[in-house]
Amino acid sequence: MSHRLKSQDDPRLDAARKRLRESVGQADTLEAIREIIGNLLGCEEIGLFTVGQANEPRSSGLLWSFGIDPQEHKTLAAFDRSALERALQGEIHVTTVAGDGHDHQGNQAVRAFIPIRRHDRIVAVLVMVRLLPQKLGLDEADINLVNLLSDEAGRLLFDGIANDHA
Amino acid sequence: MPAKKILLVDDSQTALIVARSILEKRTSYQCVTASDGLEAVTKANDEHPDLVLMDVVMPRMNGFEACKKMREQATTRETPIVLLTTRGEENYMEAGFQSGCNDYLTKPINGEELVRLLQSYLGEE
Repeated sequence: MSHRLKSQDDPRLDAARKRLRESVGQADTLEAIREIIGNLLGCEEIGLFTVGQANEPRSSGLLWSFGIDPQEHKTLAAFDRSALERALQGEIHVTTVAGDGHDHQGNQAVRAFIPIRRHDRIVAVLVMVRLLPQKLGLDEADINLVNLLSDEAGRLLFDGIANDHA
Repeated sequence: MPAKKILLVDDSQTALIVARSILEKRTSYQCVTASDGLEAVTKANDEHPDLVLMDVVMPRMNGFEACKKMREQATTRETPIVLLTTRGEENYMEAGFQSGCNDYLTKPINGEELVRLLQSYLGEE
């Protein structure tokens, strides 16, 4: 499922935009991303993977994570390849994955792959590894927030950082 | 009659902005803010809010500890406290109620749910 929907009046979007644009430096931008995803989108398991020029999952590397084991998520290769390919082509992709016991009920979990753009190139993929159990999907307003991250986080994260990071 | 006052407590400025925006847009409640539990205990004592809406995971003093402190203060002993957390597990909620909170909401905030809950304590304005 790919998404790109119109913006709408949503206080969360204004707050997220303000927080992102006022972030100073990469560390603060990462904290802004964590705040937006944790507080507004309902996900506490996040990985940000940079993508090399080859634009291929195996050439990716985990830049930053929250709530996941970095050793188990060193590259994007651990994730569903077709979902990743769509993300690497610039599509926000939301999928469900089989429950793995973390939610105590074995329910399906929602996972989202968000392409991070910088100067019209996909430089990273942000993976919301599993939404909280009470969050059953991403609605239109959520997708507007995700689009904001997709469009703006790359510049804030990587401008001024050496090219080997992005 | 003066507007009902809500003390919003969260270490995330993003979360504070969102909660304030929702309440200012949909209600006439007045909002004051604090960015951790320690500040919240002091502010609750000084500001006499009609309700406290407080995050759980915060630096310096978390929401449970702040809730307990507020229950020890005469000025805030009876003030309704609603805790906000991203964790929906039952045992987590139990700890919240043991600390003295009245109610519990899980993040991400749903605007309608939030307003409905606050109105159930404060009435519609």
